[in-house]
Amino acid sequence: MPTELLVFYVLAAGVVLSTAAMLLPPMGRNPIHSAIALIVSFFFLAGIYALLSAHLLAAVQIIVYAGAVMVLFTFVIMLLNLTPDQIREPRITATTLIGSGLGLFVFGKLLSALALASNGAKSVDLNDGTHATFGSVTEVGRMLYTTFLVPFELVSVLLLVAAVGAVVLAKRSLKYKDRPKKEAPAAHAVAATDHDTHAAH
Amino acid sequence: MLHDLALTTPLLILLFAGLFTLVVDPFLPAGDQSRRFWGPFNAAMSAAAIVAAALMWKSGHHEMQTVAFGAHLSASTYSLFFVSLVSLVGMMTHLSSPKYMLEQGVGYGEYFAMVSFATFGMATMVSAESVITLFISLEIMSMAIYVLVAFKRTSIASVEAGMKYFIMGSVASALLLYGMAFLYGLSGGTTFVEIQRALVTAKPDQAVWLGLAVLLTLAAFLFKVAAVPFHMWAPDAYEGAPTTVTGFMASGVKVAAFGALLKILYAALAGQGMDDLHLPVAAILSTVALVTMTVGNLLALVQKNVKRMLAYSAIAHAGYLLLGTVASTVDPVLGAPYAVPGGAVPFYLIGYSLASLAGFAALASLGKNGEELTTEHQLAGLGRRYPFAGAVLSLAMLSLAGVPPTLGFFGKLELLREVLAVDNAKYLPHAIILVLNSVVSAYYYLRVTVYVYMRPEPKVEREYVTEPSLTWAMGLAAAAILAIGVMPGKAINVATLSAHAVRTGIATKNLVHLRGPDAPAKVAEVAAAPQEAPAAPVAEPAVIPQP
Repeated sequence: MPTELLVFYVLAAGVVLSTAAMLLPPMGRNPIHSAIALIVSFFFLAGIYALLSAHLLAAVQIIVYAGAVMVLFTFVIMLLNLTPDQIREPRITATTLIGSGLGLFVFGKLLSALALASNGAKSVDLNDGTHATFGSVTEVGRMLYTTFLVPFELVSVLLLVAAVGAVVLAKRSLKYKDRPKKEAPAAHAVAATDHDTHAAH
Repeated sequence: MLHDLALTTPLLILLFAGLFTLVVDPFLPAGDQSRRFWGPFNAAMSAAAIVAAALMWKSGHHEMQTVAFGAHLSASTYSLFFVSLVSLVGMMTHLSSPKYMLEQGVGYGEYFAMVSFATFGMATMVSAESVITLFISLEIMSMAIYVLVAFKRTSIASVEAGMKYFIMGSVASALLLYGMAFLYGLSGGTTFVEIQRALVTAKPDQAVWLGLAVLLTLAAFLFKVAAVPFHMWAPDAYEGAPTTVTGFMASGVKVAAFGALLKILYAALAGQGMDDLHLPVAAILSTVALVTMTVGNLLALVQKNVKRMLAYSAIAHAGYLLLGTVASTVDPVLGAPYAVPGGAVPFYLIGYSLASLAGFAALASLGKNGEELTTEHQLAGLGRRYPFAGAVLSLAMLSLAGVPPTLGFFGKLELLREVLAVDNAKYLPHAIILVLNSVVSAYYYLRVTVYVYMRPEPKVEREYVTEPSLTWAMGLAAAAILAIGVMPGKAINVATLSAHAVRTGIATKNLVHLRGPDAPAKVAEVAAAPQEAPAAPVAEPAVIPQP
């Protein structure tokens, strides 16, 4: 399958290059540039998933990671609001050593697995009949609505609790007993959005 | 489908209570006073959940018919017991909250919805039959409680407590998820039945991964019950949270976590006894138990704030309970190598949660005008100025200390009896340390009573939170502590019955094929028993491979 192989090499090169751009200078010096490079990397990764017949996973990769998770990342970067002189020069500490050691270990493991696979270990052809629906939206949907119906419904309760909780903690008007005078206008603006305090006025 | 829904009635009632509160609350008249109505309403819904669970228990649905929704949830004797207990905790919290939260300036309807959702999460957690359901329900419970802890946003301590609990709790969730991923990888299944089947027949070369999976899962539960060395978050979270939430956390989370821990230990991991896991789980748990009870008690001795003292005491009680988890007996259905927990832990949990609820409800009466008068000196005079709260607080302390004839005494007695019954008193040294710890704990529990009754009253005039539902909460808890303490027999029986049913019928049916030739006969014998109870036949879940 030369076309498939060609597409794979293009996507794989994209993943490696964009990840390198994310970590290394000059882009790696700026958090927002790093984040954008990460999005690019996610898109290439989604392409590889699609190539492996995992279409749903490819779509989820883009929606969840390139969409939701990245918004979160950008929010954190925005809130921290680092200026260039606040970003420290990378230093070698015990943590970085342990981290790189573990990374190298996993890399070695993957390489050895690759060597094992190319020595004729059993491989699965995803395009034969038995795996035709593997990773498809139909198959995942069927699993979600039959075998995993209860966990699926419970997740919706979990999301509701999280959403309500976030709103309660972030948005509820507060009645400070000893609020300083100068903060009063701001407090009124917040209170006005809240129905029952508003009605109480 | 309808049968499955019927089996989850108590859970659905709790969920409905939370949803109803959330949806109707905006339409209530403005002003916080009308929100007080939600306390009794949600308490009534929790009571309805208890009644539903009790009716299901009475109707004698047998183990064989109790697995709902493709083996993700169960309504076995075991889960019905724990569902009732967490609903009771929820009910008491709803009753003791309305006026207190109003005085604290945060008497919103969402508070009651969150407590109901957390109770729903706990009830689902103890009914879970698969690791996925267990994890998601644990998250529902935790998420609601993070919000509740930080609910008093005007207080820095409350927000700080919520933040700490949230971050540490997330780490525990990650550990649990990691452990469960390994379990799935080892067994190829997500239900406890499949995991146990796979682990019983596990190959020796899987031992390392099995050990890792068990260790990660245990660590997450040890975190949730605040066992040493995962206890650091507890004192700050307990002290900073609104008092009624502290009571809810101290009792509810502990009940749910121990319910789920016993279930995953016995029904999923330790198929044939604790030492079959290629990892000395019993030794780990009993050692952690000793360290936990000793550290908790010693640190509780030096606390000046009663809420903080009760946090360390909760750590100590987690230690006692952890020692109880290793006290197993032979599975009455499956026979020799299969173990089930004894009734001591569930029984102890009844006493512990009632005493905690009574104590924190009494402390909530000190929360007038947004203050938290919970240091020992501020308790002085409580016995004379608000005699009822003083008496309930003292009774709760006596029960926590284990003084007869309170429920706490019989809880400890039963716990010691079962721990000593294991392998010719193998845990005798542990039991002795437990008794010594109880003696130490009596000092700081009784000190509270001394402050309540024997210290001179402060000159300042002090007001207390009084309202009928708070009085009811204190009265009910105190009456239960005394009543079950005087007649513990029935409660011990119920706790033992439920603990022995930790495996559902499907698990038993699956495991029995792995045993001797007479085993199928035993199962047939058990299956014949419940026929007077007409139960709709439930389809064998498709996920369980037939042996």
